[in-house]
Amino acid sequence: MSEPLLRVKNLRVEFSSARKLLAPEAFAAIDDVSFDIEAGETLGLVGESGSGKSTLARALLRLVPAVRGEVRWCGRDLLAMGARELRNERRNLQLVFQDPLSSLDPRMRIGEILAEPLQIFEPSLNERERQARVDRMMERVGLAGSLGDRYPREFSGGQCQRIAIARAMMPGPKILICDEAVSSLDVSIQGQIVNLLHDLQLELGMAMLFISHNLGVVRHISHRVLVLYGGRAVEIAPRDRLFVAPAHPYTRALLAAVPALLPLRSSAAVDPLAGEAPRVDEVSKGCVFSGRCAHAAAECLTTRPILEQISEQHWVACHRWRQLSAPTPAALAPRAPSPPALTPPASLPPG
Amino acid sequence: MAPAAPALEIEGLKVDFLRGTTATAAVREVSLSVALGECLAIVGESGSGKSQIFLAVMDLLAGNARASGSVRFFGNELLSAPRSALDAVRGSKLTMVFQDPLSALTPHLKIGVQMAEVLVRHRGLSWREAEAAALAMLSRVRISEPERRLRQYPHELSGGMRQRVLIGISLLCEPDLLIADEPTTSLDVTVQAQILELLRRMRLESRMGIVLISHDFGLVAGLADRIIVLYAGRIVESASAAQLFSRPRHPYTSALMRCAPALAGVHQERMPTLPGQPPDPGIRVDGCAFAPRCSNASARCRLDRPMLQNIGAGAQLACHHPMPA
Repeated sequence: MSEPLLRVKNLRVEFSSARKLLAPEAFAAIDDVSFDIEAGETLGLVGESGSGKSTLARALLRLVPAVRGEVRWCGRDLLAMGARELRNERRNLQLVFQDPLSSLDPRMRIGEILAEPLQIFEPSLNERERQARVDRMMERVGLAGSLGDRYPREFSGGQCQRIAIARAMMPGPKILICDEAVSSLDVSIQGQIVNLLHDLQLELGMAMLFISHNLGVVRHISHRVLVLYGGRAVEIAPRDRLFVAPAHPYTRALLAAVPALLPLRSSAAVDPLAGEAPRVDEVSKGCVFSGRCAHAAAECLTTRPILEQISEQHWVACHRWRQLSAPTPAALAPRAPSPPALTPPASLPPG
Repeated sequence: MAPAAPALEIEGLKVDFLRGTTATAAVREVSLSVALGECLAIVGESGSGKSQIFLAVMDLLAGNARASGSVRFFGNELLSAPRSALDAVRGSKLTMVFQDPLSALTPHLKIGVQMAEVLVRHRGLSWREAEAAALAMLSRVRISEPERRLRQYPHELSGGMRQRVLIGISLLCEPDLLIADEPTTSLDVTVQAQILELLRRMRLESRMGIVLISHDFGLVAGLADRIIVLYAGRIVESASAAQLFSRPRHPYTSALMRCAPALAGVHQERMPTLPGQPPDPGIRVDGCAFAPRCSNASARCRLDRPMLQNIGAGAQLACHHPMPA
């Protein structure tokens, strides 16, 4: 079997704690994360703030250093690439950010913004060829060619995101990393941008790493979904599997927390996950989710679960997934509403 | 059941932003009311004017904005009221919670001081009494280790905890009306669920009314009794939550609900979309502002703006070609 486009193995990214200035402690923002992305595939990456989604994207682009693990890109070791090789390779790994306006240079015209990647990566093109490529890309993302003379501030958020996507697509990347690329857009505009990305993928065949906290959008666009919690992959599954039969208690809680379009859903049915995600420097051993998990057992506090395959392409890191997925009503039913608890969720024993 | 007397009544409210000699309308003749014990949701996209309405109510509009019309709180006019009259209710009987809890708290004051200050100022309590009340409130909004939190600074708390603190501050003087402007937008989805649960519980525990401002129908669904949908500064539809979700009449309401990506049901490759974008607020529109994006629109819609009319069961609609009832 040939190697996938991108293969990430046991990746670890560390930051040092700013809380102890004199003896900074390193902690893992991303730990032991492994996944593949095939050419033309979209991997959705979900998780709450602080889960390490953006850090993971940055590590793939080598904007932050990885301290351990491997990133194989088109069969080559991305982490070992020299500066020049990496710079050339970046044309194939492009990024779209959340805030479209602040990621566009306010003093450059749209046409210049789109021509710049070509000047860098294809310096042999002449002015006319470059302009033709810019015009074609503008048309492809739904912007009239006459808008090339305008400045970013003259565009709406949705249009700016079209421009940012066009800029990322100019050098013909093999993968587009979208970091919350539709999160700041209005609901009515979100769908337009998601469909644009989908159409571009059908036409140009790039792979995507689609990072979002919006599970509904992720469901639309992804082929497979990776769920991050506390810097660790807790579940990876094909889209339909993840949304229909989530195996990790965190994935289930995340899906249950999304409000449905049902008026006055009885408040008894809603039992929100207690507590908040741990700070990355807090969890020392055991399962990262054990502090908030309704099903945590003694083993979960002491031994970190590793990803195990539970069905075709479906991996989960949970000691208790077998018991939880067994069709006993007690395990599947939402927890009974608990009385108001003023104490925080049990914290992990030190050490 | 006889409807309770309205706590807040807004009539013909207009908000204009002045730039040089031109005025840009952000809110165009909005009238609404909220009763004690009621939760009214205001839903609209960015630029629809949903926040500006309530910034006008609280006299927190930007310096170049002008509000006109009438805003009455238990019959007392607020818009033309002197500062002292406004300060008597604002922050005590009429309170507001914002989207970004970090910027709404003072960074260099401890949580306990920021909370107690409200009671010292509005209720004339001593600092000692006020701190005791603040501590009780932190427990009520279910903050872990409340004694420790009182001595902490805002940056030491998580986003969810800060929002609980802000809700706690807004409830200290037992308000008659709480305005929550996108209170969960900056929070993670599991924390969002906790805050909604908190608002739901606070509502059951008191008689206060709640105005919940959001861009997300899903979010207001679990809390609202009545929903007002805004588009380009005007109310396009207003109905009970049950009615609006089961039978949205305005094509915009209907399209917006369709656009919300679903977590269940058959997977669709393409997301449902609403073509185009909201009109530029600087441009004067004669007809229906939604007409250029509307699949039901006729020639009439582009010339003749539909008036907001009662359509029975307390619902209102501004549309020439509504969706079937």
